[in-house]
Amino acid sequence: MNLTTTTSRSTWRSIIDTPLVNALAAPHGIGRYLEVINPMWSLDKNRIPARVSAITSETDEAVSIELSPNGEWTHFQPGQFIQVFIEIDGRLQSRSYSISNSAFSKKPRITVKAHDDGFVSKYINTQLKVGDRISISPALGEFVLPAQIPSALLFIAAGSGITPMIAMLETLLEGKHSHPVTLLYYSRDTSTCIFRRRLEDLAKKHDNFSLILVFSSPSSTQELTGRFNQHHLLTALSSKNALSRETAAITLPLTYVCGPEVLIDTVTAEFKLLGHSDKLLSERFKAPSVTQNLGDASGNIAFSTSKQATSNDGRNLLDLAEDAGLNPQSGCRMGICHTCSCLKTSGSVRNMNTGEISHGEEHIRLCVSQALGDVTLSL
Amino acid sequence: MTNIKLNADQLAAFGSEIDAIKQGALKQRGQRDATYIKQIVWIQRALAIGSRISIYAALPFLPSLGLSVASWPLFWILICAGSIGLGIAKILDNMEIGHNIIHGQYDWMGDPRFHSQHYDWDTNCPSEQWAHSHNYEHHTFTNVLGKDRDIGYGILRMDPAQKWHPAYLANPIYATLLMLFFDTGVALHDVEMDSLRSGKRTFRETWPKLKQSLGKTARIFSKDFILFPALAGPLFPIVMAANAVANLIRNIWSFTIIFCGHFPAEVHTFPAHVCENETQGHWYYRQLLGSANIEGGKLFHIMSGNLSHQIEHHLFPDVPAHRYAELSVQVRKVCEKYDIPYNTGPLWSQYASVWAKIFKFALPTSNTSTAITA
Repeated sequence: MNLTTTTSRSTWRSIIDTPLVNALAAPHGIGRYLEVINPMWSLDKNRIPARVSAITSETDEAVSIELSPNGEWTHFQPGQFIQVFIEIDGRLQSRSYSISNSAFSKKPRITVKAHDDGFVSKYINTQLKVGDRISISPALGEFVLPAQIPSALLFIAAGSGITPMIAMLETLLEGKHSHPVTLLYYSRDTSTCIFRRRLEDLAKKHDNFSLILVFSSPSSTQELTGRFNQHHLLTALSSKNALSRETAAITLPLTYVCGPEVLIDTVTAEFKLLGHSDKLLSERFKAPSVTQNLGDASGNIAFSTSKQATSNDGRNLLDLAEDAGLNPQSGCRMGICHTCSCLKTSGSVRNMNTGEISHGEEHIRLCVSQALGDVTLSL
Repeated sequence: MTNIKLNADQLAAFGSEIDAIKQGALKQRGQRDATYIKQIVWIQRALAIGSRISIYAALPFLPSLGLSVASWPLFWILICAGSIGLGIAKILDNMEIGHNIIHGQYDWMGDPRFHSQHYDWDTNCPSEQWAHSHNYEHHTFTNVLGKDRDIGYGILRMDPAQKWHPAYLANPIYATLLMLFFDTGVALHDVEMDSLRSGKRTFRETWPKLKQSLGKTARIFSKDFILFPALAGPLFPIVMAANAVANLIRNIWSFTIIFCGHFPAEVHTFPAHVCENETQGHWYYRQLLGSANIEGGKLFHIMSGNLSHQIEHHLFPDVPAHRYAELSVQVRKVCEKYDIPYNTGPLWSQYASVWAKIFKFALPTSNTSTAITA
């Protein structure tokens, strides 16, 4: 079974994107001129322009966005995610979302649940329109099916953690995979259960797919309620297709887990307890959270390029980097010259001049940035 | 010269007022700035494409080709429109777009296309070298003698504190050459050939930057003087000449704007010791006295990369430059309050004042420095 969608880069792109043409367009490159004529003609491989071609409401607080990227988009594997870049008030906001449709579909789709404190997820749910242009990264991530599909698979998801799972499930089932597949899926209640209809249809159509929906709301009439525990795991394993309870305790199938931190932590602990940590693959969705007050220095600063680390003591990141023996480019040390501008790949920092807080992947000026907890810099 | 002395308290109060203007502007950054820079980039790219097309469109009208469409007027109209348009496109690329993006004015947009660490401009100078010599040295140590190498660019004598030497008799000639080949002058600025000449640096120390600069120069030079002309086949020299004119227009214009920003009379220079433990207030004060504005309309400000608001640019180098005009109103009010001179004038008078200095300092002058401290 081919688990990757692949389309080749269009011919005109290959013809025009040559060293000679780019030398004529130096130093910007020909893509920057093509963008002037039509933004969709961009040759940027890391920020691929994509039109929103359809928006479907999944639940009261989640929408699916179907995207039509340009010819730089070539392939994805189910389970992978993309970085989505959306301009909001002049700023390009970047978030990662799993692709939520099968490898057999022509256009990638993402599904976004609006979080209470989620600036971008709310925007996508309420403001984004069909026809809008955004940018996406190529498909990323290792949370994918193995090349050799094992004879049994278990998926555990909660909330929007279902998104990479549905891509894998639909790809497997549409691709005539005949071995047992079980999904244990947690949501608050029926109204917040993303893809419920589709999952139920899949379960009806494919005998080898067992769907176990678990609702945490106390009024639930489902067989299982509450949060993940060992009983849930054993029930999932003894479902119509899977192994019996006795043997299940000894051999766990290859298991994928995705959802909030607490779910991943409990599942990881359970697999460890059963001695099967090697069977578990997990993907964490992290919401940016800032809990730090000024002066309360904590966390570690990781310098990914030089593989160094130091602990945060509240001073600016330039001083910390230099004390850690690094030699980042720097100039005025007062936030003026931008010589020390550096890519922060994760974590949050506060601009010591303005108090502005930067979350996630962003360029920051080291000399005026103070870490709020763990931060990773590409230095 | 006005005697401008502020005491420490006044300096601190002045500094916090200027700072408040800056923080207000930074807070307002948003869609308006993003839309502005995108529009300017769009205009610049469209103008560059259109102008290059115009240059080639002129060729069939050249009477010496003997084609039925032969026409001198059409040939000249199209070739001049192409050259001038390309010159303007280069000015926009270098000044309102390149200079300002490399300053980090649009870093907050989070878009690599407008980010200081990614942007490269259509001129011989590698943008990283510019970021060092200009954003750091010049903007941090503005008009500080011995620290700001923009004072005379290591070639000219522009201040009485620079020791006179007979070679400076050719000051006006050097200035003219620098003007005509300003792109090359800028490309060599951070390489510090003057330090190599004076023995302050060895060739080995100079080579990495020189190599980088030569590489960039080769790319830009080959584009305008080999590759594009080659597309015209036997009419190679015509396209090359048109491109040369475009580069010349850009060079003369950018030299003019930049020299008018720091060298008119009444612009102050400072001794090196002012940088020791300098307060934010004094830093703003020094930026203000070390810069001069040029008056003009909106189009003029855009064409100058808003460096016509050199004072605001030096106070707020990382605020999007298209906001300088509105900030200047607030800055002038603060200057009036503290009785600090705000140097501004029309282009012709500032430019005349610059050339007067170029001639004046070609000759030996008494060594009284205009450098001031507060």
